[in-house]
Amino acid sequence: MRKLLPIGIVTLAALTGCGLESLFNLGHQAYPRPASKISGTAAWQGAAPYQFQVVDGNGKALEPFSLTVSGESYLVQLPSSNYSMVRAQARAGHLLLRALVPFVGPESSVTGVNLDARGMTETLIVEANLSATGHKLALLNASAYDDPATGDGTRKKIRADFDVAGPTQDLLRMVERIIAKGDPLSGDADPGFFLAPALDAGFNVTASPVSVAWLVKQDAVGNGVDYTGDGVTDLTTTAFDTLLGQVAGLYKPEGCPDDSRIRLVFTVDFNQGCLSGSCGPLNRFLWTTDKPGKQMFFVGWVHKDSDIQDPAIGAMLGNSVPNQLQMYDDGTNGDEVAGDGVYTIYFDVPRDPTGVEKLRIGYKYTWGFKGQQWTGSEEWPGNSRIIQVDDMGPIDPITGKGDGFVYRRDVYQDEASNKDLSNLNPKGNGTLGWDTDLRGCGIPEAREQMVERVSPTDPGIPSPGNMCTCGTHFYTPPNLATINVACK
Amino acid sequence: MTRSPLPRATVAALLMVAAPAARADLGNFDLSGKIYTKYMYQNDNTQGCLSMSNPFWVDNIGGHNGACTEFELQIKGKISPRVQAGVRLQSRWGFMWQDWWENGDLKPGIIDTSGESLGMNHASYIKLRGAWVRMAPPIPTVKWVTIGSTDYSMWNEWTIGKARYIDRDNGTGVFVEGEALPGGKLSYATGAMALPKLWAGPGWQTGVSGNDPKAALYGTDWAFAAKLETRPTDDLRFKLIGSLLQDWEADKYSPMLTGAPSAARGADHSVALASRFRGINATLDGAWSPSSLDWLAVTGLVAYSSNNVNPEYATNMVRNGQGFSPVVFKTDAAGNPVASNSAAGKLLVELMDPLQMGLSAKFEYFDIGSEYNAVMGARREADVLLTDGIITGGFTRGGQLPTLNIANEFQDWDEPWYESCIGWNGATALLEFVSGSLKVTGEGTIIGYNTNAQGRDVKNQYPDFLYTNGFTDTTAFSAASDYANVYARGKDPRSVYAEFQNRATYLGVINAQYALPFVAGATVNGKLKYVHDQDKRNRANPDDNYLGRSYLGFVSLSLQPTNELKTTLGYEFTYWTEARRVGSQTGGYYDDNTRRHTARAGLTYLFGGANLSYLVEYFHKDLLRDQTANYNQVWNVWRSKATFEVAW
Amino acid sequence: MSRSLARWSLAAALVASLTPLAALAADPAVTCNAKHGFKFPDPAGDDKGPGTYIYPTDAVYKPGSFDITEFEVVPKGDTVEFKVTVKSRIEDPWDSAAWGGNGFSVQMAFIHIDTDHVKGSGVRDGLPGTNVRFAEDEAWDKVVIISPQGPTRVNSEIDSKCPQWKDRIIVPKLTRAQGRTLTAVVDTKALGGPPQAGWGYQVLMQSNEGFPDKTDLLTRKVNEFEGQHRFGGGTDYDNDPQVIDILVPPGGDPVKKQYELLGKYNKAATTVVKPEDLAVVPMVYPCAR
Repeated sequence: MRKLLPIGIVTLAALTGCGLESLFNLGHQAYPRPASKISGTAAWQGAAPYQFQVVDGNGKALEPFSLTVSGESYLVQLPSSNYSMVRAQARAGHLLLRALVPFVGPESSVTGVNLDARGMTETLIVEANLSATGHKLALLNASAYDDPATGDGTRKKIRADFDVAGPTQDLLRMVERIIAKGDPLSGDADPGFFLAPALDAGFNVTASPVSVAWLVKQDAVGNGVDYTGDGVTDLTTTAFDTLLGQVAGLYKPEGCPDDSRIRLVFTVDFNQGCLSGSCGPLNRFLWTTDKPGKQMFFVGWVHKDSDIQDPAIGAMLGNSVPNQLQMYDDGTNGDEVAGDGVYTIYFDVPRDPTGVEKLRIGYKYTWGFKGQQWTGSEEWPGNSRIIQVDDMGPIDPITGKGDGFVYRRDVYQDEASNKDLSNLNPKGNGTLGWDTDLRGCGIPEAREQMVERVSPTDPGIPSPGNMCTCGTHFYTPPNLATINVACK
Repeated sequence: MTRSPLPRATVAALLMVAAPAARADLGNFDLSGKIYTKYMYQNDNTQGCLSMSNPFWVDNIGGHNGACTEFELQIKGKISPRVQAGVRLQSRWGFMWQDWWENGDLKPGIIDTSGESLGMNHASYIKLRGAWVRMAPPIPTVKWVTIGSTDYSMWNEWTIGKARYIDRDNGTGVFVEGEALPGGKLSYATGAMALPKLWAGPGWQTGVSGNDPKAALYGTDWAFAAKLETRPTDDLRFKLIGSLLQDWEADKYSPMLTGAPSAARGADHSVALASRFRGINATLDGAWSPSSLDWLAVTGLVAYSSNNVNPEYATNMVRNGQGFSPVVFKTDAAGNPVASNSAAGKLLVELMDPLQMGLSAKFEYFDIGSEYNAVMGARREADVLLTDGIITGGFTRGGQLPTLNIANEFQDWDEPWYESCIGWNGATALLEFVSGSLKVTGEGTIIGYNTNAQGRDVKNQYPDFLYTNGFTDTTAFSAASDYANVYARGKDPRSVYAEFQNRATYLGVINAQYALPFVAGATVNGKLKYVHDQDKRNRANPDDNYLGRSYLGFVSLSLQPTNELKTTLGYEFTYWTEARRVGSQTGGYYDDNTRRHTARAGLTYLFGGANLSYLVEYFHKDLLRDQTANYNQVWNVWRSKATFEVAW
Repeated sequence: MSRSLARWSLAAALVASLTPLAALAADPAVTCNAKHGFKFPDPAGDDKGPGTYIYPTDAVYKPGSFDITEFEVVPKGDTVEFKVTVKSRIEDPWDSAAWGGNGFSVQMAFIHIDTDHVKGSGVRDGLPGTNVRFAEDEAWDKVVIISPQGPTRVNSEIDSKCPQWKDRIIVPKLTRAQGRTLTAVVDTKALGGPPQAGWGYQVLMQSNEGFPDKTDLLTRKVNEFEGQHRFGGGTDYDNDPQVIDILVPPGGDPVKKQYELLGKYNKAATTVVKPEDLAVVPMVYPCAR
C-alpha cells in the first residue's frame, strides 16, 4: 500500500491537466431542454398523447418535442420561445376540445389549460367573435386579451360571467351538456363537437360548431342530446348557435388600441445579391466571418440624441451588448416567411401621443454566436444605424393616424443607408443627421421607409432587397397586430 | 525507433573547443536527417505520389504519376542523465517535382484535413510532427514519465493500439511507467492521451462542427489507459490493460448557452459537459512458457469492450451515412440508446519442434463477440490472429484486427491490407516444417461468425459499410471519387454486419520457401491458398445463397546477384468464382467470376547508406459478370513505384 | 457440450498428450557428434549482460527475447546451420516482410568462430557496436551475423562500418525464425570448410537496430538508463559491453561467470575508450579434447 500511494499521487499529478478533471462530469445529469410548457387536464378518462395538439392562431399545428399524458393530465413541451394566442386542442372520439393559451414565454410554464367545458366555451366565444369581426386570432395582442400584470381583459370578463346567471353561463351549461353526451372512444371519422364556428358580420352563425349529424345519430342510438336542458332532445343546433352568436357579441377579445406605445419592427435581408443604399453590390462577409451555427442578432440602445431616455427601453433593445437578442426567420415572433433569409424582431416601445418627444435609437445587426463579441460578427466596425421612431405611414385617411407600426426593412452590411458616420452613399457627405434625406425620397433616412411591393395584391416585399430605391408604400406587416391593451 | 546520441569523441571534442555556456549545449543536440523520395507510374490519368490518400475529402495529392520528396529532421537532446527530449520536424507530403514552385490550391471557407483549405497541399512546409520529454524522476516505483508524443505502443490492439507508422508521432499525452514490485513482479503504466479529433469517435471525429453539426468540442476529449504486468514466475506472465475513451460535448441545454446569463435561470458562467461517446476496453492476457517444456508456449487473452454513443451529440452515420460508421448506434426495443457491449477471447498453443525434427505446430482458437470494438485499437500494421485470413493474397500481405476503425488509406498499392475480425469464431491449425533450406507451412482455418443474424437492423444501428459480400480486390482500389474499388465492389474490409447473414468460411494455405543451392542468395517462395466462403443470407430466401471460392497460386524468386543488389520476380494467379455475389433481396443476386494475373519485378540496391528500391507490376484482370445484371470488365494495368532514401 | 467448450477441451487434451515427448526432447549436457556439430546450453535468466542490464521499456522487447538458452551447430554437407535458441517465442512486431526482412524483428546475434585457436591469428576486436574484445589466442576468424535485416542491408552496413573485415563476415544465405530458435544457413565454403573439433565459438546476443549509430553495425545501444528502445543498466559511453547474453565455458556458475567477464571493463574510460578498456569475452570450444 505504501508503494501504491506514491503511484497514485504521481499518476494523479501527471494526469492532472490532461482531461481527468472533465471526468467529474460523469455524474452530470443532462440539462433538460429549455421549453415553453403547457399543461392541464382532459375532460375524459383514458387520455393518450396522440390525442393532443397545440395549434397556433392560424390553426397550424406546432411541433412539441415532448408530449406526455398521465391519467387525465397532459404536458406539452414546445421549443422554448414566445407563443401568443395558441390553443391546446384534443380529439377523443366525438370530442374536439380546445382551450386558449394567451401567452407562454421562453422557459416558462402555463398550467391549468384544461380541455373542459369552461375552456371550450371561452374558446368558442372568442372564435365566434373573431369570425364575425374579421380579426385574426394570430394577431390578437395577448396582453390585451389577458393582461398578465393586471389580470384585466376579455378572459377575465368571460370567466366572471361563467359564474353569474346570464347568457354566458347559459352557453356554458349547453357546452357541459353536450360534452357529457360525447363518447371519447367513438370511432367516428368526424367529431361531433366542437368544430370551428363561422359567423357573419351580424353575429349569425353560418357554420355551427356542433354537428347536426351527430345530434341525430345520438338520438337514433337512444342517447339523445338535450343541450338546452328543457327535457326535450335537441335535433338541431339552432338554439346553440343563436346563443353563441349573442354571447360572442358581448366581448371584445382584440382589446383596445394603446396610443402610448408603438410597435417597432426591424427586418434585415441577409440574402446574397442585395444592393446597398447606393445600388452597389454588398459583401455580407466583409467584416463578418461565416461559420456553421451562427445566427442573426439585433443590438440596440437609446441614442444620446433621444428625447425619451429610459433605461428600460435600452435594456429591451439590448443595451449595446451584441449577439444577445436573437432575430427570427422561422415564421414566428413576427417573421413573415420562414427560411426566406429575412430576419425579424420587434419591440413595443413607448411614444409620446402628442408627437413632441421623440424616441431615437441606435442599432446594428450581427451575425454571430450567442454571446460573441463584436469582432467577426458585426456588419461593420464602429458607427451604427440610427432611427427616429415616427409612425410615417400608412396613414388612415379617416383618423389621420398611422398604422401603429414603424417598419424598417434593412439590408445587411449596407453602409449607404442609415449609417450615421462614414456613410458610403455618394449622395451624402459621409455623415447622416436625423433629418438627412439621403436618397431624395422625401423622407429622412433615419425613419421608417417605404418599401417595394411584390404585387399590388400581394403585400410581400421582394428579396434580395435593396435600400437604393425609394419604395412605393409604407408597410403594415400582415402577421403582427397593433399594440392593444385590455379595454377598460 | 529512437536514435542514439553523437559519438562520445565528437561530444568531447565539441566540449573542449567550446565557449562555456553556448557550446556546452551543442553537445546536447543530436541531429539526424532523412531524405525520402518516391516515384510512381501507372498507365492512367491520375497524378500524385500516393495511391490512396484522404478518404474523406478527395484531394489532389492522391494519384499514381509523379515524383515526390520529403525531408525529416530529428533533434534529440539530453538535458540531464534523467531527462531527455526530442522533436521531429517533417516536411508535409504532397510536393511533386513537377510542382516547381507552387504552394497549392486554395479552398476558402472550407476546413478539412486535406491541406487545401490553407492552400498548402503542395507547399511541402515543415511541420512539427512530434515533441516529447522523457524523464526519470526520483519518485518511488516510477521509472519513466513521458510528456509528449508517442506511438501508443505500450497498450495493445484490443484496447489502444499502436499508431500507424504515418501517425507515429501524432499520439500525445502524459505517460507514467513504473515498477511496483521489483524483478518484474509487478510493473505498471498509465497514460492520459489527447483523443485524436479526426478518427477516434462516432463519425470519425470527436467534435469538429464542420463534420457533425451536433458536436463542436474536442479540446476536452481524452483517452485514459492503465496497464499492470506481472511475472509471478519466469514461466508465467500476465498483463491487464484497461482503457477509457471519453468524448465530451458541451451540454447544449446548459443555461449559459440557452439564454441570458441570469442567475435566476441557473446560469453561472460554467458549462456542463455531456458525453458524446464513451468507449471502454479491457484485456487480460497471459503467456506460459514452461522452462521444463521449452518447446511449448501457451498464450491466452480475454477482452471486453463497451461502446456507448449518445445520439444527441453524434449524428447517426449508420442512418445518415450509408452505413459507414466506426461505432454501433445500438438502441433497445423502445428506441433508447444503450451501450454496445461484448467480449472476446483467444487461446494459442504453440509446439515448437517438440520432436526435434523441424516440425512445429500452432493451434489457435478465437471467439470475438459480435459487438466487440476497439475504437482506438490498432487501425493497421498489426495482426491479432494467426490465420492468413481472407484478405491476404500472394503479393498483398495483411492481417485481422478487432475494430471497425480499420484504416486502409494513405497508402500505396503495394502495401498490406487489413480486415475486421469482429464476430469471428473459429480455429486455426498451422503446421510448419523446416529442414535445411526448406520451410513449408500449412494452415487450415474454420471461421464461424457471431455476427450471423436474420433481420439485423443495418439501417439504424449496425454499420454494414454498404457492401457486405464478395472477395475484395484490394489492388484495384481508388480514392478518385469513392473510397472503394468502385468498379468491382466486394466486401468492405470493415463490413462485419449484414441484414441477413448466415455465413461460414473455410480456408487452407500452403506456403513454401526454399533457398536454391548453388545459386547465391536465391530463394524461391510459393503459396497456394483456397478460401471457401459461403453465406446463405436470408433463411427464407433460397435464391440468395452466396458461395465464393477463391483460388490463389503465387510464386516468387529472389536473387542476390551482388552484396548490394537484390532482385525479385513474382507471379500470382487468382481465380474467384462467386455465386450470387451482387444484387439485393428484392432484385435478386447475380454471379461473378474474376480471373487475375499479376506479375511483379523488383530490385533493392543499398550502398553507402543509400537505399534504392524499384517495383514494377503488371496485372490483367477479367471480371466476368452475369450479363443480365452488368457488363464484363477487363483491367490491363502497368504500374511502378520507386523509393530512394538516405539517412544521416 | 457446447461447441466452444469442446474446442477448449480439445486444445487442453492436445497439450496433455504431448507432455511425455518433453522427456525425450530435453537434454542439458553438451553433445558433440561426429561431424562436430553440437548443442551448447546457456542458462536462462542471464540476459542481463554484466548482471545490471535492463530491457528497453517498449512492449516488443518481451522478457527472454535476448536470453540465449541453447546454441547449436548442425553441419549438413554443403551447408552448416547455426541455431540460437532464446527463452521466449520469437515474434515479428515490426513486420519484417515490409522491409525485406527475415521473419523476426528484435533479435540479432553474432556468432564468432575461432578456427585455429592460435595466438596472433584472427581479429581481437568485436564488431562495431558490441564494445567487447577477444583474447589473443581466441581471436575470431569468421563471424556469422544472424539479423532480421535482409542481406543487402547487412552488407551495406558492413561496407560502411567495418569494410576491413568484409571477407571474414558471413551473411547467411538463409536466415529464419521458428518458435524460439533463430536459424542461419551458411555455405560450408564460406566458413572455409566444415566445422572442426577445435573450433571455438562465441555468440553475442544483441538487438536489431534499424537506425544505428554511425559506428554501430545495426546494434542497439546500452545506456545508463533504459529507454523505450534502449537497454539500460550500463553507461552512456562506449566502454560497457553492448551485449545482453553470451556463452561461457563450462565449469562453475555460468551466470556468475558471465557477469564477471562482462563486468570487467574500465569504468573510468568514458570519453576516450581504448581497446584494452573493453571487456574480454571468451570462446567456447565444445568439441575440443
